[in-house]
Amino acid sequence: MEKFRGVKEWMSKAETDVFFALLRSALGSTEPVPATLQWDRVMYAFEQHALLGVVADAIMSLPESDRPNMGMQMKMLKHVGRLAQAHHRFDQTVCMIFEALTSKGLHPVMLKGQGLATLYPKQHTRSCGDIDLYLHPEEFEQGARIIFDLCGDDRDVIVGDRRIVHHVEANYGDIHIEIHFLPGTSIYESNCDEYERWMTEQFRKTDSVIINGREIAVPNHHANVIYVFCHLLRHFMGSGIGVRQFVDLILLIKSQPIDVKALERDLRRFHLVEPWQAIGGVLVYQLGMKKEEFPLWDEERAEYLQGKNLKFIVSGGNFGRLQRNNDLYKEHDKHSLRGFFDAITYRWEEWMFYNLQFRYHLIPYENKWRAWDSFMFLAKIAINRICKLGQN
Amino acid sequence: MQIRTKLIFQHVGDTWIAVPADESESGFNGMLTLNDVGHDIVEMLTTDTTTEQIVDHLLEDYDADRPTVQKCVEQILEQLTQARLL
Repeated sequence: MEKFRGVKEWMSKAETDVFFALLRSALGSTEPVPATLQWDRVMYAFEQHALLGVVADAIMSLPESDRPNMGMQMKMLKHVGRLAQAHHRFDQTVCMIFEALTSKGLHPVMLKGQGLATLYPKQHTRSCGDIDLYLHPEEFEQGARIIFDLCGDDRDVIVGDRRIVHHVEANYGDIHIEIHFLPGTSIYESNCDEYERWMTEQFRKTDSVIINGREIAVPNHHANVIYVFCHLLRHFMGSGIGVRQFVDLILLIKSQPIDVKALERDLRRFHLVEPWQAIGGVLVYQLGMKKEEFPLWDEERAEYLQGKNLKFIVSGGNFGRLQRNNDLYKEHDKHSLRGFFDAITYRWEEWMFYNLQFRYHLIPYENKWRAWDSFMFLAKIAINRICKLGQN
Repeated sequence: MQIRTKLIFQHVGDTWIAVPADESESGFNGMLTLNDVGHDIVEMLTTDTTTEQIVDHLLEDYDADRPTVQKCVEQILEQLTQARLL
């Protein structure tokens, strides 16, 4: 697929404004979108945040004189076409897997991706990477065996270390499937077990979405909001976050009424109220959600992810830090291995700094592991530095 | 006549795009970009239909004379044939 590569500079403030105005427009806002001449940067940013399909309609609805040039439009339309094809295959595969599992009396639950895609104004414009399925503990081995057989995979179903992996993987053609035996973990070491137990119970109460005319079980709305939020937070504090994950969350929150008291109770139980309120700032100030629509809105905490912290998110991209560094590496330091490592480790350290700062400001004081969490992240930075010295 | 492969349509702004659901089956790995008229024509061709039926259908929906519509339909049919979709 053609990419918007070769961008040497990241978006300016004005281009970032266009980026978010287009996103708001894609999510239903009628406010005017400011014009830009730097479409290459804006399109590159949408691509890095896995949002190019989502904003395509908003871009093509601009006055012709304000749109990107024809070459970029065609690249974008090709991308939308590829996404539609991918969704077609993913949806068929999801239905086939659910049929195979439910016909044996199992109760699979689809997590994230294809379920969240149904919430989008145009569901086939959300990028799709893999299929995430959850199987209840007592059904896991039988269910995973069935999926392995569908995939022509004769491996034994082996559950790895629960602290390291939460799923086993299979490939149906070129579609990657993650079969989760754990629903995911908390961002805190101190309450991982409690979070897992709670989420495991929650996943027994499901809602459903309709895909290709078939009911597909997804987590109940309350659990799904917390699950998607925790997943977002883990990306934010770990592997890198794309703005698409914020879009997923906003659409999920808006899709059904939320029991705010229950949400507060469960967020508080897992020490997540403060990060929730910080993330709310991005949903309201950048993505156009109304303050009164965002549960547990807090004016002060919502400011935390604005300014330079927001810039850091935007310049990150969906798992995108390495991608971006690789691009910069290709542009600026084509022949130096050291340049490559510098690009990666510099960015990683910057990320750790923000991560630590986020933890310091937002992890509640009553969490006894707050100091331990911070210490662990400092230790990782130190190890990274030692590794870097070793490379030199 | 009928288009040989299952197409997926997506409406983007004022443009329609159509891609084959399965490229390996169709032998067509491109993308059609269509305006509303083109979309109407191609969508009719997803079921078995004739040129006359397409023209009649378009005359109901668009304010144009028969020769103009006929010419437009024939042009698109020609392009679809070249793309080996018909």
